[in-house]
Amino acid sequence: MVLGKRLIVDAKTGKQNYVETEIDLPDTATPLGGRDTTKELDDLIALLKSKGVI
Amino acid sequence: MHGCLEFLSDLLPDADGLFLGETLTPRRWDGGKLAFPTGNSDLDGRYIQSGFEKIVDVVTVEAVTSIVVDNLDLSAARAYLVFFSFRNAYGNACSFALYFNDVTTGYTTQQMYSSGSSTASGNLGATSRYTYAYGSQRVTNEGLIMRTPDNYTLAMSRSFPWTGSASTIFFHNVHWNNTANPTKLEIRGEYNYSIASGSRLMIFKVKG
Repeated sequence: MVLGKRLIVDAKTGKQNYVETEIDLPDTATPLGGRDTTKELDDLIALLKSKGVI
Repeated sequence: MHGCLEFLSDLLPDADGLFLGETLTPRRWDGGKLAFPTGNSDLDGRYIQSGFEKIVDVVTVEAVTSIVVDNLDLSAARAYLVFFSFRNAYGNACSFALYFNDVTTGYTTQQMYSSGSSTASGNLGATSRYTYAYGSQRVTNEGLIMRTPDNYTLAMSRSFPWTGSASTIFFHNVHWNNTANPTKLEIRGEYNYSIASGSRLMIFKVKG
C-alpha cells in the first residue's frame, strides 16, 4: 500500500474528483513477454560456475 | 482548362447515374451509398457512424496513480471502446493494470510485443496488464471491452509505446474470471503517480 492519488470520473455526470488515498500497487513485475525460465536457469548456472560453486 | 470543382465533379456520377465516360452499367450508382462523416466527434464521425457515442473524456491535470471511471454498465452498453493516450511519469518501465468493480484478483493476461529487433509473447499468468510504458515515455492505446455469452469480461488492448528512440507494439488480452457486470473500471499504474499530467482517457459505448 502506498499513499497515491486517483482521478475518479463519473460516467453519467462527467464529474471529476482527485482523491489522495491508499492504493495497492499491482504486482506486475513480469518482464516483457513473460518469464524465460530457461534463460534464468542458464544465467544461474553461469553465475554458479563463475563463483566456483560448480 | 478544368478547375478544381470541375475535376471533383468528374469523380461523381452524372445525372443518369453513370461515371464520366461510361456507357455501360457495371458501376451504375444507385445514389444510396454516398455518405459523409457527421463531423461531430473527436474521431471524425467514424465511430459515431458505426454506432458509438462518447461517455467519458478526461485529461489529467496532475500526475495520478490510477484513473477510475464509475457509473458504468457494460451489460447495458454491450461494449466499450477505450482510448488512452498517456505518458509514464515514472522513470522506469511501468505496467498498467485494468481492474473492474474494485476487484484485483481473478485476472489473467496474454501479451505479445514487437520492438522491431525482437518479438516475444507470453502468458503473464494471474495478473492484469492492460498497457505498458517505458520509463518517462509516451503511449497511445486503444481497447475493446465486451462480455462473453457466459458473462465473463474480456478486454483486448493494443498499445504503441515509444521507447525514447523507437516505436514498439504491444497486444494484451485481459481476461476477468468473474461473471459480475462491470460497473466500475480502473487503470492502475504499477508505480505510484505513474500516469502523467496531460494524459487523456476517452470511453465510448454502443449507441442506442
